[in-house]
Amino acid sequence: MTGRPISPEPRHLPDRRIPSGARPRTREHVLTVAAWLAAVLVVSVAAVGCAYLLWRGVPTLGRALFFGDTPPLLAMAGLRPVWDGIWPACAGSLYLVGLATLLVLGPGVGCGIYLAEYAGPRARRHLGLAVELLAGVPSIVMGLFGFTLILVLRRTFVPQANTCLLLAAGCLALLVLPPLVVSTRAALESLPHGLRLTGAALGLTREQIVFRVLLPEAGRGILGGVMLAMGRAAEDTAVILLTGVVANAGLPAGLLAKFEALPFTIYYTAAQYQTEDELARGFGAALVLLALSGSMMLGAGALQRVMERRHKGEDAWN
Amino acid sequence: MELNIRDPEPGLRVTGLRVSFHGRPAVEDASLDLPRTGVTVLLGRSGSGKTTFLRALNRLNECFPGCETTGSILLYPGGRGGEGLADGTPTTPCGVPGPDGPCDVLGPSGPCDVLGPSGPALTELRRRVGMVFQTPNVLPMSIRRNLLLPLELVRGQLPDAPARMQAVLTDVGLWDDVRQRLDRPAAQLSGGQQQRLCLARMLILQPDILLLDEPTASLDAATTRDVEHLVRRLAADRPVLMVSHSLGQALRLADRVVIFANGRPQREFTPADLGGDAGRDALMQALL
Ligand SMILES: Nc1ncnc2c1ncn2[C@@H]1O[C@H](COP(=O)(O)OP(=O)(O)OP(=O)(O)O)[C@@H](O)[C@H]1O
Ligand SMILES: [Mg+2]
Repeated sequence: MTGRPISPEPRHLPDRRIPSGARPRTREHVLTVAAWLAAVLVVSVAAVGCAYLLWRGVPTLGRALFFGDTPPLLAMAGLRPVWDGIWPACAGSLYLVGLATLLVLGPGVGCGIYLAEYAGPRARRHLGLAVELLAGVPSIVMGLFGFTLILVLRRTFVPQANTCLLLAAGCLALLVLPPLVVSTRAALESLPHGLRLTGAALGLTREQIVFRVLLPEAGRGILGGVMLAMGRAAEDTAVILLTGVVANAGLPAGLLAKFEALPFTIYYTAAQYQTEDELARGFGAALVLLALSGSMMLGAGALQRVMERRHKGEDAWN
Repeated sequence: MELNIRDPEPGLRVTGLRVSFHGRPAVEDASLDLPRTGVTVLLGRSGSGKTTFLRALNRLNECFPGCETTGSILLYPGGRGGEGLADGTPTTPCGVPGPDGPCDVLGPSGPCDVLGPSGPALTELRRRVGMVFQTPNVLPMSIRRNLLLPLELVRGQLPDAPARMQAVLTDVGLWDDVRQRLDRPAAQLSGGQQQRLCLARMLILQPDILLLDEPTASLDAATTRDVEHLVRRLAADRPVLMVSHSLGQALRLADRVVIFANGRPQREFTPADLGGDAGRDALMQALL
């Protein structure tokens, strides 16, 4: 990186360039090294974490981790309960994340579109503030909110109301709403203004510009936000703790039933384990959770590539 | 050679137009008539307000914050022969419903006031007053979608859409370049190809008035000639208002050269005026 100036310096410049050129170069070096160090730090932390998890978790992987003594097919079909495996927790987590994503997708993306494309300055300020406030709510408070909601419902309209999968998914959806709104809005606002102008000049209506031109172009950013939201929903423990997760529910029986979830299983195992075997199973569960969120991201990435290809035109035959 | 702003049979009449951004006028007291056919070339120094003037005609300035437009812009019912594009596609008569209501631009019932409260539906106005920007602005999609998406959104599903696409691409001299790669991103085209694609995208919507903002700025000499021929052909049955920085192009192309300065059309020259040295001297004088 010690490149000399390529073009010859103009003659009439005062000859101060050697001292004034030297200092920025050292500073540049320092900054470069710092950037490298930061990158190495991030990678090594991730690598160490993953390696430790793999070291402890991989030996436990197997049929027994997921299903205990129950035959897998019967367990998967829900015909036979699983007592000492994490299969119900996996299924519960999948249901939970799927349901939370389903619930958050419309409001999150819609709110982001409204903020970026339709809101006036006042609405933008107020709604933006509301989203920021919501983003600042700790997840345990969101759980408390869900819990209180159930208490209120029990005292008023629905005496038999109880914490359940639907409630937990709803609270999770609230928790991951702000990042989705923010990333949708940012994805739309980062598009060049010229795109809107082009659409307008062609005689497209505002809706056509937003939904047929801008949104497909912002799809990558929005999908990133969805991935972020799903990741957070998969890992959060505090919200579900107060809204219906239990240690032994088996497969979730329905939207209004209790459920198990991987993060809670990990937490519960770490806090309550009695044998080394049980602890090992906790590591196994952690590894599975990592794989689960990892494959969600890969899936979202693949989906995004397909969408992009269809939108932008085939680039593959290059 | 003074500005003869009034035409007995105008296609478009601008009177006392003023466009300001955040209170600073970019176009002021501008008046101009466009005849029903022929090329009017706007010449003027950078920053004199030519682009803003063009954008006022399809109300595109409204997309910018702090913009205020006053004055009057009248569109007259078209005296088009109905033979449409150079490829022979007949243009649809008025009454084709646009995406937000029936077309009321250039309707049979006298002029309509573009800026007035009962003016045309904005989207229909913009389809009928086609514009090519100073810098190429392809949509971030494939070449095919660049043409077919606007067509579909503005005119609905048309069975002959692919044929129309081929026709306009041929018109702008791009068909042979892109027929093999219609599904590749339009952004991969060269600057000049992109500009011609933008021209094709405007033409596929079959506009009644063309606003061209330096459409040949990034083209080589040969392509420039092709585009100029196309513009001449298109101008046979519709008004074309074109900004240019090239005197030679203005001389080759224009039925009328209008000098734009200080935010308004100042003087105009006809090819006859410019035939002699005196005329050219006057033109140079006016430009400086
Ligand atoms: N969106 C805008 N916001 C604020 N000012 C603007 C805007 N668009 C144009 N202007 C101002 O209006 C004036 C005229 O600009 P315009 O783009 O119309 O010039 P032009 O004649 O097209 O120049 P050129 O030949 O360089 O393209 C300029 O002073 C410019 O700063
Ligand atoms: Mg300009």
